[in-house]
Amino acid sequence: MPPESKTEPPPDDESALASVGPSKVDALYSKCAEAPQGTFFIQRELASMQIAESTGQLLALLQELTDRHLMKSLELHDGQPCWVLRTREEAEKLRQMSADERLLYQMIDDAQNDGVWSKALRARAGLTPQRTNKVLKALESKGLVKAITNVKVPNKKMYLLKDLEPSPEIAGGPWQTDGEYDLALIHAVSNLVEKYVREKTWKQVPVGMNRLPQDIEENPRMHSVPRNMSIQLYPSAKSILRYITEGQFIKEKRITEGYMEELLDMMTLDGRLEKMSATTYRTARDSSFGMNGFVEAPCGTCPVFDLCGNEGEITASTCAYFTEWIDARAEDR
Amino acid sequence: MPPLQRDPPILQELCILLVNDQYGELASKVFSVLCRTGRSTLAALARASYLTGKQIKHGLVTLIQQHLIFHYAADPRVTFYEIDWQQAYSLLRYGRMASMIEHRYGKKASNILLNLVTFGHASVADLNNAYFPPPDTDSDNESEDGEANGSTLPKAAAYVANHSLHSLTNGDGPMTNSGSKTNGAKKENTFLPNNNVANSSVNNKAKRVSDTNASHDHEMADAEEDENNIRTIAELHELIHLLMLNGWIVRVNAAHYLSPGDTHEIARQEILEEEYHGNMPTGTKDKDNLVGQVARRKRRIRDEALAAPHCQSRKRKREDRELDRSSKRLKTMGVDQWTPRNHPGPQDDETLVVRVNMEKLSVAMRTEHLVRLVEKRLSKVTAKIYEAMLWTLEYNQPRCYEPWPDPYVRPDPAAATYVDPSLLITAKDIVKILSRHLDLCEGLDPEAVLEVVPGHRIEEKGNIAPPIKPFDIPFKQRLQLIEKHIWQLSFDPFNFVTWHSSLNGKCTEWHIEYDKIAKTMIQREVDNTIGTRADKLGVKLVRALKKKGRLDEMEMGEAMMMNPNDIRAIVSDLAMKGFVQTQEIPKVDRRESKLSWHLAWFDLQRTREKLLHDTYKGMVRLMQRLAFEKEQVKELLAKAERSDVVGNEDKYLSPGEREALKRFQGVEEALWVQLGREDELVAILRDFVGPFVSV
Repeated sequence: MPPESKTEPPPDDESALASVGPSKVDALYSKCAEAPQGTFFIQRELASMQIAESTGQLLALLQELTDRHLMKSLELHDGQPCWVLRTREEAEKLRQMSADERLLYQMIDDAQNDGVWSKALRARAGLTPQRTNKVLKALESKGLVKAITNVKVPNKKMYLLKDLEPSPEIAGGPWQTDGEYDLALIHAVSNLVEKYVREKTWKQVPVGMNRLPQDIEENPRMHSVPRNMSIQLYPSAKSILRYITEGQFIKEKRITEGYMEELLDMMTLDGRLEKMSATTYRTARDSSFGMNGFVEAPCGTCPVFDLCGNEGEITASTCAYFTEWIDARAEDR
Repeated sequence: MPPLQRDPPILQELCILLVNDQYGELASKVFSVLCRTGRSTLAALARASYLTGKQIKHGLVTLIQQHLIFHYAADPRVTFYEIDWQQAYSLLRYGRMASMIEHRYGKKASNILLNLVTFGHASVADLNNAYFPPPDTDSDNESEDGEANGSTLPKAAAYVANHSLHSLTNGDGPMTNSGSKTNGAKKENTFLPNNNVANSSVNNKAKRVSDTNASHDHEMADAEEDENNIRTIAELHELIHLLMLNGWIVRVNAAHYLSPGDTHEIARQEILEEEYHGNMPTGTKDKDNLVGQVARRKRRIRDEALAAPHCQSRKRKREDRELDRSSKRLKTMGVDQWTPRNHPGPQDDETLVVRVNMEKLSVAMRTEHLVRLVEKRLSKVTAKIYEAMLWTLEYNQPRCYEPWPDPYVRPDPAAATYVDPSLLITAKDIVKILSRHLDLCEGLDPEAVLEVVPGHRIEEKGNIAPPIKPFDIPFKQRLQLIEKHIWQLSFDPFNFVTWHSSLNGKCTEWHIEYDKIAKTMIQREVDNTIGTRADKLGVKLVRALKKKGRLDEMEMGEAMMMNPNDIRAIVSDLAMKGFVQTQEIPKVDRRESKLSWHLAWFDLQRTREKLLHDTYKGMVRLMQRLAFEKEQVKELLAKAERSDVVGNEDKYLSPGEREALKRFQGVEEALWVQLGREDELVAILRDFVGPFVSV
């Protein structure tokens, strides 16, 4: 539950501010740094560290840290303010920024892994396009932000913090790399899935399994029969995903059930899988396309079918494809 | 029927070719004039063509006898004529119908059908005479009576021709003989593709082929033909009765001559007179009511016309179903021969006039397609079981869908689950039909088999040891095995059967949602076509669009997990071919392509109509090519058909000529086979489910 946006810094307490000493600021910072990086601190937690003497002082300390860019104040989803630490290097970089740079950086930072569209940045900051570009370039060269493409809208340039992974919304999840579908990966995984599901749902038995095996039949002809189980037990996104993760077939990428479902849906469109119930799948026994009377005849695949008439240059009697087809049939006989 | 009336001229072209092929030039000329003018009177026809009144009358009589046109005289002085598209197209299907009937009831029954087709319609007395000519006609006819299509038909036709008022049918000179000859050949051909369905018919086919080959070789064929002879009038009547009970042939009724438009008018007028005192209702509710009432009345008119006349005693009905069951068993098992029962045949009214019912054929074709589909998707034995279920249910299905349904009302949930009990089926119903030699274990998971039949084990390779003898499985276990197969049918994403109820102590009841399956079948054919005409990705795109509705490029990419750039080409290719539709919606006031959404979507109904149209066109081209090929060898064919040459080909034809003749026969067969295949596609696209609001 990442905090949504930045709040106004907590109200200043003039009287408390005076008693803030630099040592306390550092103490609070180092105390907080003991927690794992990226931890969110709420006020109650910070108070329990017993560094500030009063709530007013605590808030003053936090304000100081925020001003020095060592801390970032945010808001939890229920509206409660909270804070998160920045590293000292990061804070240093921020301190050295120009006002414009800082403005844009903070906007990008606020968006976290959702990223911000460059046009939106410009509009919100109220800068000219040239200025915006210049500032963003500067930020990029400092290694603070990076530009990525949005999979949904490829020509929208999005910015986000350098060390963040773009959210699946814009990066497109595990099946996409750099905004393009990773066809090789999809191909490999779908083959794995198909093999797994086939094994789970069909059984290879010899043709005529209920006859005395003939001596000659060393390797009897096999055919597949549906396995004896209820359709609720057929493979589902969950069980297929478990197979894929446990087999450690994919490194680096994490696939969630939702993405697995997406792949299975796509395979269903392909005709490789068939949906048996709301959640379960099986493979098609024979996913090849059949022929039908129309496409077997020469007209079915004729490139000039629409031009062919009763009279004119293209007719049934002058048709070269027909001659070919008839000759082929004659050879078959 | 309504959808066909909207059909574009391509169907007209096809039908004219078919009529020309079967009934000769004059009939087809008149037919084409009528196609052009639409519903018209004799005088209008004469004005619209160069034919003389006499010629037109001759043509019309042929067409009426064959039920290819409707006629209606609202005012007794003027009669209006109108094309019956359904029937005209069905000319292509007579051969298929014969083979279906042969598959179900044996060769004798199919022979009756072929006779009936030759006549168009005939009275029972005519059929009696055709099979058992009265002694005063040529006596040596009798020995050849039962001989397959080729020779019986012209003879029978000739006989009827002498005795019926419609002598013109066959009196039109050149077409008579050659017409029925191609007729016979075609039947063989259209029959061919069916055979890969049922193995049992493979033998039959072989038999048939050898039959035709050896038809001059009497010694060879005699024994076989003897079995296929109808020996007594009682047997003939019994077969007619059987076919009527199952709805394959129906009594000719005045309503059969009414075009859909006339039927509608008559029904509407009647309802207006009866319910609304001759005034058009004004309120919206009343108008809606009227639509429903008219549909109901039309159904009543039709059902009265179709009612089998012999069902006076309800008690016999059950028994008669048994009659056809036994013949089903015969065909599935191919073990013992069907023999006529001893109970007295129905007292057939000799004046009863009967015709074939093409609607029933659609039902049978649907069965065949479904069985083939199951065989591909599950297994052969499961398909056999499904076939038995479908055959049993066919009895209560005169047609695939109701062309005049009640206006749609939101079904209340309680009624939505109601299924006509005559369309429910249990494993018990079919266990008797299935051959006891059919190995029910095949096609099931061996573990599932052992759950039912204990005391066996599964070997390493997957064999069951020791093997279970299919013949010795007790009744109860057979039932359970069959149910296992049926469950597989219901699990399949096609939902071949749907679970209805399992009451305590009773077998599980199933029903089949034909309409839904039919739509899936249409989708499948569309997929097949796209898969061949475009590629696999095209099919994937269509499926994605079908599932998600209108999508822009990005969304298509997401659904297919592909990069949008790769999809663009597929979309435009499919849009060109008419399988998907595209749409551009401007986001701003200006119509700039950059500032627009580019959407694509798929409409099954539209694609279905387009594909049907293309298929008709493909069929027309096949017929045209056939005519062209025939033209190439015209002189040779004329020579080969000469009476002195027939039977002495080796003597009178040079080796080159024989070779050319053989080649032509091959070409002819290939083209007819292909026509049959395209006809199967037409059936799926057009006949199994009514025009529906696209889903």
